[in-house]
Amino acid sequence: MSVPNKDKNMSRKILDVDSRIIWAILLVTLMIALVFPLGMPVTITKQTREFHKYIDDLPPGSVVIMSNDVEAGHPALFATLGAVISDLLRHPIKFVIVHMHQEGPYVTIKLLKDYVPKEVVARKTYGVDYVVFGFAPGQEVALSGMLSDIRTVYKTDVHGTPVDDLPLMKTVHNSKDFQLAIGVGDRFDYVEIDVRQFVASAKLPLLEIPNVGGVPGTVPFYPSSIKAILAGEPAGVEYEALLGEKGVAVIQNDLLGLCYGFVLIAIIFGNIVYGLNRFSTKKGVR
Amino acid sequence: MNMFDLLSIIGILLAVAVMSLMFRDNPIFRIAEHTVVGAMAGHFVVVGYTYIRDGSIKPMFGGAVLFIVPTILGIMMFSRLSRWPWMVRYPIAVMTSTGLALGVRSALEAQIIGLAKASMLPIGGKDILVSLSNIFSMILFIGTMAYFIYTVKPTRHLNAAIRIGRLAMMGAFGAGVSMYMGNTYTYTIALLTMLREYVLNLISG
Repeated sequence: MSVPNKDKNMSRKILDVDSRIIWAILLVTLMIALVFPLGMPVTITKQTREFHKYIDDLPPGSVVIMSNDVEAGHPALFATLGAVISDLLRHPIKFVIVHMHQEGPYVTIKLLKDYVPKEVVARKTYGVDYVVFGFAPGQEVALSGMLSDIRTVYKTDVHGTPVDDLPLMKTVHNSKDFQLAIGVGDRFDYVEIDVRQFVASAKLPLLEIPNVGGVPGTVPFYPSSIKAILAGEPAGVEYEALLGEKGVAVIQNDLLGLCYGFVLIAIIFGNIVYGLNRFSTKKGVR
Repeated sequence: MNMFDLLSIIGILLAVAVMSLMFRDNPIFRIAEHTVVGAMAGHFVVVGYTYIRDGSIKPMFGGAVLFIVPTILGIMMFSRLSRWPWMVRYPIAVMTSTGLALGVRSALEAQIIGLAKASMLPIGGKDILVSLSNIFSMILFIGTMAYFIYTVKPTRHLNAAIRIGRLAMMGAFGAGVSMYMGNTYTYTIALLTMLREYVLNLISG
C-alpha cells in the first residue's frame, strides 16, 4: 500500500520523484550548454599526440588510405573523424577514402562539407590531392581486393568520375602505393578486418579510430599491429585542440562533461538520500 | 525556402520527435522511428541496386563476360523464395569460403602472433610506473591464459592464477560494458550537436 504524500518525509519524497523530471533538468542543462558553449579545459593524452605525430611524420607526397565505415546513424564519431581529415588536408600528403559500409560515402561527404573548415578543404584539389570512393560490398573480400588492385573494386569515384581520369589515381594501384592506413569504424569487427588486411596482408602501418565502445577491442592490437589509436569521441576535442581548431567536438565535450557530471551527482545524491531515508525509517520516522 | 532549409526543418522535427520518447512512448515518436527505418531501408535498396547496375550489369554488357558468374550467383540468392531453395547454398558457399580463405590467411599473424607480441611488455624501463604497469598487465595476461587451460588438473598454484584471470576478465568485461554505456551518452550528445547545427544552418540561411 502506498504511503500518502503528506505522510512522507523529505528523503522519501525525493526518492519518489518522477524520473522524467530528472531527464527534463538534464535536457535543459544540455540545451543551455548547446547554445552557450562552455569551452571546458582539454587535456591532450599521449595516445592522441602519438596519432597526430604519425601523420605529422609522413614524408611529403605520401598516400594514405582511409577506410571509413562509420554509420550515418552514429554521428558521435563525426567530429573526431572531421578533425583527422582536416589534419590530412593540412599536410603535404594525399589520401584516398574507401567505404565498406553503405552509409560511409554519405558520412565522408558530410564531413568534408560540415565538419572540416572550408578554408582547409579549399587548400587541396579534389582528384589531385584526395579522392573519395563509394561503397564496396563484401567487407573483408572488398578490402583485400582494393589492396591487391583498387581498380578491380572501384571503376569510378563517389561522383561517378572514372578512376583513370583522376590524376591522383594514376600513381595509385595497390597496397604498395600507400604509406599509411587509417581504419575508422563503429563496430569492433572492423578492427580485426583492418588488422588482418592492412597489417598482416598488406604490411601497412595502421592507425585506428574506434568509437568509445570499440576501444577495449582495439587496445590489445596496440602497439604491435596498430601503431596509434584515437580513442573515440572524446579524442575528437583533443585532436581539434592540437590543430588549434574549435569545431563541433568542443561542444560535444562540453555536453558530455555536463552529462557525465550530472549523472555522477545524481548517483551520489540519490545514494545519500537513500541512506538518510533508511536511517530515518529505522528510527520510526515516516 | 530552399531545399537545404527544408531538410534542416525535417531534421529538427525528427530530432525533437525522437527525443519525445523521454516523456513517454507516443505516436509522434513512432512516426519518426518508422520514417528513419523506412528511409534507411530505401537507401540500402537504392545503394544495392546502383552497385549491381554499375559494378556488374554494365561491365557485363560492356564486354567483361566473366561478370555473368557473380551476377548468376547473386540471382541464386533469391532462390530461397522459389521452388528450388537448395540453390541458395552455392552462392553462400562461395561467399563463405572466399571470406574464410582471406581471413584465415592473415589471422595467424594478425590475431595470434600480433596479440602475443603486444602482450610481451618491457619490465625493466627507466619509468618505474610504466614497469609496474607492465608487470601488472603480464600477471593479468598469464592469469587469463591460465583460466582457459582445461587439459591439466588444477593445482593450488594454477587455481590462484585462474582466480587472477577471472578477476581480470571481470574487470575487462565491466570496462567494456561501461564503454558501451558511454556510447549511449555520446550518441545522444552527438544528435544534440547535429540538432544545433540544423538550427544554426536555418538561422544563418
